[in-house]
Amino acid sequence: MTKIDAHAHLGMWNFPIPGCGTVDNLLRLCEKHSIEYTTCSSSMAILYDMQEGNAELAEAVSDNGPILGYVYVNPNFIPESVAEMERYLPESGFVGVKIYTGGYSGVTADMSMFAEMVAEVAKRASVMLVHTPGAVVIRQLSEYGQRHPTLNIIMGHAGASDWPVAAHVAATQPNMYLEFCSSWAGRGKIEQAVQICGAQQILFGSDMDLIDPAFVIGQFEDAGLTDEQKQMVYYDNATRLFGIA
Amino acid sequence: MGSAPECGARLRFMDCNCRIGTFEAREEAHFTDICSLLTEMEYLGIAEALVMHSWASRWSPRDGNCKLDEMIAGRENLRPCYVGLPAATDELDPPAEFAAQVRSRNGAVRLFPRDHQWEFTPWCAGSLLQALAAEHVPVLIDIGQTSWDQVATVLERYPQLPLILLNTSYRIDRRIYPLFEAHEKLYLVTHSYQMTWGIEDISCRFGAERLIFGTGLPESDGGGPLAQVLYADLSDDEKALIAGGNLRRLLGL
Repeated sequence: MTKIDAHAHLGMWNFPIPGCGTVDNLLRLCEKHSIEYTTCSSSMAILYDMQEGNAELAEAVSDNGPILGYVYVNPNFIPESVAEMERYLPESGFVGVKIYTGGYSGVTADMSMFAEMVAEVAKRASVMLVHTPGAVVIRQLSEYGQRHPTLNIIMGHAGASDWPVAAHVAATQPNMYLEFCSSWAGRGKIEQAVQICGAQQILFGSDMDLIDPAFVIGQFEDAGLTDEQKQMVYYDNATRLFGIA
Repeated sequence: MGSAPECGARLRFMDCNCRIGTFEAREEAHFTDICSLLTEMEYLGIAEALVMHSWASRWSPRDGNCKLDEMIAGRENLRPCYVGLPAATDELDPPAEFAAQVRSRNGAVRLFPRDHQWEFTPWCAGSLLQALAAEHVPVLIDIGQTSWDQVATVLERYPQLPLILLNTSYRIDRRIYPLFEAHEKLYLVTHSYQMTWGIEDISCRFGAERLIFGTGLPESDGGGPLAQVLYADLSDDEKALIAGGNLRRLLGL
């Protein structure tokens, strides 16, 4: 089944992954796994330099191929992040914004600078992908989702083992979405999440080329979803969210 | 497995990491009886499994290992994975007897040094490791139960011991490649090694013989680990080794 990948990366990491980090590798993986579009953020932007990373991603996005872009923003640098959004979001290949909580930026979702960053994102973008390692972040994002109802928030990794919290949030907030790529493959999480919030709130994401897309696809394939549900999760929800014709 | 490649039907999967019995944290994930495990294996297309009892890992290795024997008796497609302990406290049979029993049942041993309050080192577990090495009994250990330094020391001291590393991550290449290079009896379980092209790269550098399929059932989903193997850019022969051939060889099946 043809897929749109809502969570991917372009670039190297600070640990080795064979063949990782190039446009060619992403294209190879897209072809192998029937991924029509893959929505990437820049690993360089996340790990080292926001501007240089976004610029590198923009080159890959500008080819009008399968690679779409998230502008990476960093709450430590709000004016600079605003400039990045204003520079890249008008370009056709950029479909939203990526932001991290904790970890790389050191800014947690409950901090005022994070809230200020989200407010700036909401003025300019309709989609924001957020790294969600657990329930604390999910609950905070739920508040931001209520505060900014035109902003669709993708809960990247679906809160990991706290996925039930994410599913219950999405059940009552239509602008909150679960995306399940993760190295943690909790049994039953996808099928139960579909029961809680419905397939219309769930997106396929691979985390390539960090994680093997097959690892996530296999979890969806054995989740007992109907063809209609798979079509929504793999494709239709993303076309609606990203405005893909 | 939905749209899995054609080779899937020809692969005979044997899961090295299944568990039966209860544990406290997640009630819904338990396989409290063999039928539940077999039903899930059939759904996923997994033919055989190496099974451990959580009674042995979480409470009493001796009682849990006995319970495991009772539960899998007569099930030829389920092989025992007993939980081992160092010999000093005499909680299990003497190492040589224990190792011989495991080997005679085509089983394996899993170790939990961190949870069970001992050290995965020659000074603490030497007689057990020596006996298991002498019988070529496969030993499984979570990296979180030990350290990379301890793994390296054990591999160096007991070169005939087949050591299978579980629950690692996709960020381990700088640690595990030198160990693969130096120790031919080191093996890696695939389900926690989810990186893109990871299975392919290890197969190319060190041989597909070094990889063992596992799922982590019942806590973990089986579909992802299956798809890793099914979709790998490897020959059917290499996939067959990873899917079950390597584990069956180590178990003497």
